[in-house]
Amino acid sequence: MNLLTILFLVTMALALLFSSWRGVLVALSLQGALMACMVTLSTDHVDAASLVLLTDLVLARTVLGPSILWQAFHARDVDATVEMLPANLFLWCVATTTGVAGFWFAARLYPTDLAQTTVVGAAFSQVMLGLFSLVYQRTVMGQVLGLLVIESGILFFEVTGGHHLPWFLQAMVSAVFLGLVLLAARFSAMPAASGVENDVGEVL
Amino acid sequence: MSALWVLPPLVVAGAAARLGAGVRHAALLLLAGASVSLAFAVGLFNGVAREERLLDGYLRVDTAARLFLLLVTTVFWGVSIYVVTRTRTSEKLTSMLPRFAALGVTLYSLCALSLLSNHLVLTWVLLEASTLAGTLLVMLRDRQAARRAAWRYLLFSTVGLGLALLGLACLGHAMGEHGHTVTFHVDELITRNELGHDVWSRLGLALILLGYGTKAGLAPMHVWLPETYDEAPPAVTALLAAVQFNAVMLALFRVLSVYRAEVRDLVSTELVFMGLGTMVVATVQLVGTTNYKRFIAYASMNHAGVIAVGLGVGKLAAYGVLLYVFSNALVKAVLFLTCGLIKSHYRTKDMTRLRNLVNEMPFSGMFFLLGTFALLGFAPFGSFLGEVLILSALIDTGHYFVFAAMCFLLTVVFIVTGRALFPMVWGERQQQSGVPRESALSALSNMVFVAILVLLGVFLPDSASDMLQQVANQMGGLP
Repeated sequence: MNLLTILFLVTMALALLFSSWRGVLVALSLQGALMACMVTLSTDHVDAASLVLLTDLVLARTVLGPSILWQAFHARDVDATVEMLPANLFLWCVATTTGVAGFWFAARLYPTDLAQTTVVGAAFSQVMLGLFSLVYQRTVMGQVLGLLVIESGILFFEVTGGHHLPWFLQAMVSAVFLGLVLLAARFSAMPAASGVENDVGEVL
Repeated sequence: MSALWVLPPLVVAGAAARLGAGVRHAALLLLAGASVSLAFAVGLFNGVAREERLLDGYLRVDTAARLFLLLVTTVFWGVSIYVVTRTRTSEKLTSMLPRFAALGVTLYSLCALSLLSNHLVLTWVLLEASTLAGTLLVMLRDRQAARRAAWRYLLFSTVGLGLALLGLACLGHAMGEHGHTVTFHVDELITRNELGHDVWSRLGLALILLGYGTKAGLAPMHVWLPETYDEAPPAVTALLAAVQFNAVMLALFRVLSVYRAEVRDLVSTELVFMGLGTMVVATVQLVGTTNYKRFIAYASMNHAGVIAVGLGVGKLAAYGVLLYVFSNALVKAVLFLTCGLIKSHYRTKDMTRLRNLVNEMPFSGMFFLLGTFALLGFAPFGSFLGEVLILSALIDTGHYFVFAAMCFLLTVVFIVTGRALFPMVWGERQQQSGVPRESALSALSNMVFVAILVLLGVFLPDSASDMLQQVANQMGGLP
């Protein structure tokens, strides 16, 4: 579990430090795969809930979610560069402090349990850094990626909590995630409207 | 009769409207479905439903569900009437109707299910799904501004709901750490009465509050609300402001009801700050706007702030908060639907260009006026009683500074609203804008909403008052 958590932390760093949307999507996909490994290793007996959770992690988070967005961004031929954390020393200091704060919080909760501190710290750091990165994103693409970083952090916290949702609820969570990705891809793919905005038309 | 009977008529109507019925038939189907659903909701309110728990306890018909289901179904029925009358007066709108019917019914059904939900995670999933439907509804008209508003709505809602989900995961952690079986069933959590002793459950409550507060448009994550309410079609704005908002409110009430009262005291400061902050932001923005739809949106934010302050006060204000929530939904429905009629006639949202509404559009002028009075918390509307109860609870609990700040802000809103909206209704006529397309049918829904608003303020039947009191007691937290 510890090695997987360390790998999760590495992918978190990749997601936030790679200045490329392809890099962020690959990192998010890797996080999905790592979480699937964690669930596989920690599940004593296979039941419907763990199967649906694994399907969600492998299919929705590792494969479908990132690939749908990849296609949407690729189709629009968007700039390959997207800075999740802008290259600015001050902002990097704030981001580092934010990340450390997540681990500090976890260490306060579990002063003697390093494994638990790492897991909770990684989850909270990723959520807080995702929120921090959203503040600086001006494009829909950057905001979508920031949103997915947050989602991945929350899911990591849930997965490592040891409690699985009933299978149908997990399936609903997965469906909602895919719906969100599809909608986000649609927004990313929308061309800018041409012509002057006219708000005098008929409306329901 | 099962509570779930409220949904099928509408779902069938929505699906039929989307899948090939002619536009005229689609409109009638939507109205018929909404009317049958309303009849079922009234039946449910009167206690026709026998079973309490449905689908293995994931849904539960309790007093709060009955009250809120009746409220949102009434609003949806009113919106259906509005949409049907609008499509009858304008050919251009008919093409939008099937899509609106399908998405509107989806949004309503998901919100109605969330009201019946007895499981905190299921409620979350339903609210998130309703957000996806809401996003598509906001950009019903494919304009750039609407797209921008829809994206902002989706982004903030998803971040807010994400924080709420993190809060729920913290609750799961809290239960797991103490060796308890992890459950998110509301009735089981109330029976157990164990939440609130540790950091995880308190952190969970704070995050859920922040998350659902974002979804309700509370500061500091409120920026999506004015733009979304302004850019969405009025029928959609009414659905978001009166149906989805109340689904979020009940979700919040349910979370608060599973905590001990003393734990709630820890977040009361957070709630009061969020509420007052929202009121300050809304009041400042109200001063500067000349767009009447955005004006109502800021006023809605102001109302959400009052509700948050009331929730922060706790048990003493709970009855007033409920009354205010119910009145607030109806006021927003009246005003946003009337805004739609006014804009379709004058083709502008600039209130400085509108005068003498009460003579040019008698129905809309009158409802705009009545809605504004209710918005300002005048007697005899329910909002007056709700506001007075919240303010008196502030005094009783020693929140003198909050009381003074709230009175000051409400006075500023009163002055600004009077200065901005009353000339629209009564001012000197500047130019004739053609014959208004108003009908008695288009006024029907607003008539019903205003009648309920007056009933809430003047005469509430004992049975309804008892139900409100029962829900208010639950909201106050566990002993």
